[in-house]
Amino acid sequence: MSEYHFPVPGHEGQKIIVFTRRHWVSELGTIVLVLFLLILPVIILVAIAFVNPAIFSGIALNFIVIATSIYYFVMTTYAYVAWVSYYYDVFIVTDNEIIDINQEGIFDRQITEVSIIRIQDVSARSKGFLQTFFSYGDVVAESAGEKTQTYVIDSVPNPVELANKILDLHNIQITKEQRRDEVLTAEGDLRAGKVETTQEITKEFQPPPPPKEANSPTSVKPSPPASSSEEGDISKEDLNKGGEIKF
Amino acid sequence: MLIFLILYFIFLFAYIIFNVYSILRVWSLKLPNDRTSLSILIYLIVMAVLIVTSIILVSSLNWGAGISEIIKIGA
Repeated sequence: MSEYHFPVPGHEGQKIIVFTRRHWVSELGTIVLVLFLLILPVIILVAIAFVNPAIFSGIALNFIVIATSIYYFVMTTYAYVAWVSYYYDVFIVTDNEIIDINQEGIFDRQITEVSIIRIQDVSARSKGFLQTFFSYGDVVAESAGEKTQTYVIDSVPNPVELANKILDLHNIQITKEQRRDEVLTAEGDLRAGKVETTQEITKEFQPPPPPKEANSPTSVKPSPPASSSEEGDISKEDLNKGGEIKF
Repeated sequence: MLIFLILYFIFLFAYIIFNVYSILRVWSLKLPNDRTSLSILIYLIVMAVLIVTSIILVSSLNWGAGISEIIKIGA
């Protein structure tokens, strides 16, 4: 069970910058539902008592007691599981990582981690009356790379502030690791260094020229330039020799 | 009627086992200085109150009646 402890294994040395949960107003629907379900049996029993009071005497009372007991057992557990789902569903920003712990009930837990340096775009969104009034909303973070991934952090308080904080940390991290040029290159904004031409690249692969032995009797005259083709191409002579490519 | 009482106690037993395991799982989620301990304490108190109340009510009822009596009430 220790794997569920925070710090998440491998993150012990990291400094926590933001530790937040969903805004409690986002759980208003669950709160109202639980309260309604808790008083529902009382309403039903009172209604039955008015319609047919005789039902509370005799053997039917046994069923009512057992059914009501089981109902309240299950409801209490449901309320507690809803609280666990809210309380342990946390969002953590450390100095170089974002950790989203998604808790669904007691037996479903998902931990998503993304490096802050991989974050490319962060946006905040408050939609609707409640989110605007209580200053909470979603933060959407997109990671860089070929396979762009989107991370949505639901219903966090002060989403704009959080988004700015993530971007600040992203910039700090890039400056710290001196990787701004690399990141910009990956985004296509800046090409790092000089772009080499094809000729410059092929020149690097050329073998050194053979030593000149002009007075040697066994020296072989170099083949005429007319018969040789461009570097990398296959000349007619070479084709006859078996198609080797001459550099 | 006694069969329903036995089923009720079997449910209660399974429910208590489930709750003990759930509480252990929740305890493993504990973060430093959080409210896990308080929440578990409150939950245990509520559950204890519910179980004791339920058992007191159930034990005060007459479970000696036969199925025939239930059928009579239904008719």
